[in-house]
Amino acid sequence: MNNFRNFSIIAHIDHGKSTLADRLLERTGRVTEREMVMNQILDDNPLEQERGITIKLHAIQMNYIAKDKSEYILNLIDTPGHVDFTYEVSRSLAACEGALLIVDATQGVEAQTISNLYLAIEAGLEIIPILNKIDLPSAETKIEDVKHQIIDLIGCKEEDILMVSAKQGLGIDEVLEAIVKRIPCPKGDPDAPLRALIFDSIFDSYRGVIVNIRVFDGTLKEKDKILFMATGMSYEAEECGVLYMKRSRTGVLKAGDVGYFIPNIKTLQDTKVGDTITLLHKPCEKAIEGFKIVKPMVYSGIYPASADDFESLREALAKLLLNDSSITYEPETSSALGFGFRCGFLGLLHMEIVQERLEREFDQNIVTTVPNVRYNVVKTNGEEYFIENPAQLPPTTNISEIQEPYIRAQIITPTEYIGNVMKLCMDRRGIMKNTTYLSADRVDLHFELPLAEVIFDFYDKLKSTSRGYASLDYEYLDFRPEDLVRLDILFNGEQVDALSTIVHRSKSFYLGQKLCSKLKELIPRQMFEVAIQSAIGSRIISRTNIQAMRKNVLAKCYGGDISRKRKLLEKQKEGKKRMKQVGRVEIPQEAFLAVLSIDD
Amino acid sequence: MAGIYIHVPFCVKKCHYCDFYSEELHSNLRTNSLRESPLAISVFVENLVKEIELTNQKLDREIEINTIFFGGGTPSLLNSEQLDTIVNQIHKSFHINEKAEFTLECNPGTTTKEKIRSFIKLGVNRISFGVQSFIDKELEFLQRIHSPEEAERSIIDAREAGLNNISLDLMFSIPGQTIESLDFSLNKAISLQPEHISSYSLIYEPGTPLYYDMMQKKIKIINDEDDASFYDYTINFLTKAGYEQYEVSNFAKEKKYCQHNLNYWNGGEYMAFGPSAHGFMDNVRYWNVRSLQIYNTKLIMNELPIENSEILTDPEYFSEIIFLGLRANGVSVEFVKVRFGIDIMLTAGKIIQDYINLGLLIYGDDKLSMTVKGYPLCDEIILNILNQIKI
Repeated sequence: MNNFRNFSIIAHIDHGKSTLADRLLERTGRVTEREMVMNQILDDNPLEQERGITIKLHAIQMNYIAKDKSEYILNLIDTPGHVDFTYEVSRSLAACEGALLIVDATQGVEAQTISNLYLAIEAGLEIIPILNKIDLPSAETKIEDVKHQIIDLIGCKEEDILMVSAKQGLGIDEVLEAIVKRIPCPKGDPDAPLRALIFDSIFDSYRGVIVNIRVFDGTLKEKDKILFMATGMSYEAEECGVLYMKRSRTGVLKAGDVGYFIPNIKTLQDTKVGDTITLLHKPCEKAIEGFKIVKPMVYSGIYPASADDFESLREALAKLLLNDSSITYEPETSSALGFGFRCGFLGLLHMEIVQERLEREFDQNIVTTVPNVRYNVVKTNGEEYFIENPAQLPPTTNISEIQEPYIRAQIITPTEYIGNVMKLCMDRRGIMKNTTYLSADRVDLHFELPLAEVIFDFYDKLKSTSRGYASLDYEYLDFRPEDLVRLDILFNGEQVDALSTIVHRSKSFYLGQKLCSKLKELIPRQMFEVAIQSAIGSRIISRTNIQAMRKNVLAKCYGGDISRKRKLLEKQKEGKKRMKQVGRVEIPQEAFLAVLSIDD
Repeated sequence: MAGIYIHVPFCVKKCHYCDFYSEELHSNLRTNSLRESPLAISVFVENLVKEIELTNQKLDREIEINTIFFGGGTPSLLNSEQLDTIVNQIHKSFHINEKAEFTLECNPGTTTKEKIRSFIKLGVNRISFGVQSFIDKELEFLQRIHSPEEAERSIIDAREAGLNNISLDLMFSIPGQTIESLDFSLNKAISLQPEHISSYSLIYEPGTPLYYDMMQKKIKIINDEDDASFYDYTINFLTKAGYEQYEVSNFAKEKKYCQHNLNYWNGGEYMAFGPSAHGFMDNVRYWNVRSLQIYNTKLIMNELPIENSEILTDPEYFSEIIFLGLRANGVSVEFVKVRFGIDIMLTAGKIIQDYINLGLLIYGDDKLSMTVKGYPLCDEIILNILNQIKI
């Protein structure tokens, strides 16, 4: 066990986490150079590669012969790099004894890095600070400044900071030596009752669920009866082993090990990240702390574009749930969109990923509604419940209070953009809590914000208002009563439930007007005039008209034009299929997300 | 029963909006007498005759021809000897109904009264003149080679030569056009009392120089609102003047519809000769190569110059019957019922009734057709009806 080192990497997007990981794998001979051509081995999902982020966790074992001539076994446990997945990050960190903190020498410390770093420090991890991209010309002037940011943050000495260029392969040996020398070896008793942490589980269509664990105490052998302490379920370990580039069966995992086991489970729902496993017949006394059931923060309706595809969408969601246990979905009905599902996500990015996977991997043609948070409604009769869809809001006269979720947001920005960032947060009903200068030109701002204001393009706005320099991290705070109303949209006097949103009263008038004109832009002319109205309760607050279509006909259709015209018609028919018929009005899918494209 | 379409792929000068296949003749045809036509046309005529002959050899049945249509290009560039040679071959190969409609497209300025007389002698009984506009500037924009006066002269010539079925092509939404100038052209047109008028919105066809100019924003195109107004104006004007609209862009007095085109729109059969021509026989749509050179080469080697063909599936044929019929003088509900086993008045009954109530469609005498109000929204209506029917 003395030769084991379990560590993870903390870094902001694009600060070079994947490249450094690739170098470590290369230097320890875990991958050949030819495999390296594939580049960035950890992010192997095409969606991950496109977005430059890690969505699913990975773990990999390396063998390293150190300068002291002894061989070490290094387990790298990768973490997802987005604010939606904070809990998963905390569980990965809990499986390690140390973490590499990578900071881009040209950029400096970002918000998310800080919050993950705090998670690591809280978990008692040894931090190895690394300054990456030192070879870039633009790093030269910033290196000293960024070094000081790091020293301020973790209280290390300047000489503790490793200077690396992962891209050029500079300083990689120093990183490996530091892992061996500075990170403590795992402690634990192989003879004690089994106690292991689930930090990830994946679904394999041939093997079912594969659970990735870190063993703290005891020994796990194949054929052992395993108890999942939080869910109370038990299964037999059919296979276990360690994780190289692929799974490598060893038949046994001992205290200190990071590896996998296959329990013959058909759905990921039964394996919760953060749960502790032990032996059914010789259980440990206490589960590992920190287990939580992750609740969705953001909800959105997902409907089949064509009503015939409802069943196929249901199947796709069920399959998706097999390898993403954080999604929730419940069937719901909308008078505008028909039968569909109300789905819950960890955050906006998670929502986008799920929608994209449904379309790409499961070939679903879907219509999604504007995302919303969950609200706690207190009725005049004292009854109190959560709603996940604005349409579920009871009539105003029955409502005594609506509470909405607040978050604590941490934004790190160069000082020149403080004004812009503050204005954005104030516009979004933010309450400023704290300001800390990280250096002369970087500041850490703390705000309390309604989550609902953040899920509407807040992140994009933050980026554009700071030329991409500001970074954001947030955590859930509490529910607070606010003056909220439901903004409804009517087409020719008929309410379109899928377009209703819950907004703050102070913004309702402005939003109502903007939404009407945006819809006018997005909805093509119909064969009759369409009146678009926005309303709060029975009060109409704005109105606009879409003029009736006047001409839609191709002038010429002779012998040589007929085939072409027929093919064009077929195409247009497909286009019409992507429209949703609400009453007699045909609405393109983008219109259901109109509120997201309103410019402030 | 079938039609014959012959594509004459020559023009004195190509118009920049036109996407029909044609080759420019480089000799100065306009000032020379047209009796001396260049070698290219003679070679084409020789091969065209061969194409008709070869096609006939491959046919396994006798076909009666009801319509003949010479289009182009500029068919009036043929001299009477050349037309004679072609017509002779048609008569040799097929049985031509004695009442057959025989149309020839003419460009104003490429005909004389004598020439029209000689065409009539060969059986031509309908001429369609590509007038487009009676405004100098608009003709200039369209790069037409004729003047308004020449157009007027040609039509009077045709009348005096004894023709009693004359058609004019007009165009609207020409950049620079106004309601006043459109009104002027329409007035001029009806004063010449043609039996038939086609009026098209200028289309920016991909691949044409005009399309390129539009993409480069070199020209100020007529906006959709004005285009709709021009179309409405044209329909109202011609309808009031006694012309019945029987297709999106076609109007006729005293039921003198273009029989050849109606045959296209009613799903009938037609043979095609000449480069780029499209035919439809035995449920197969086929088209010739779009190159005079390849056309000539193939025929010299005794091969038919067909580039490709497609067999229409039932859903495809169904969709053509519906959209072509609704664009023209109506769909026979009974025919559709017998041919496809679908009663459109039932399967799409709700939406059709909706449109009838809105005054866009009319149903009577087994025919479902557009009203004057429906034509401008034709494509939308067709799409919505087709979307209701699964076949």
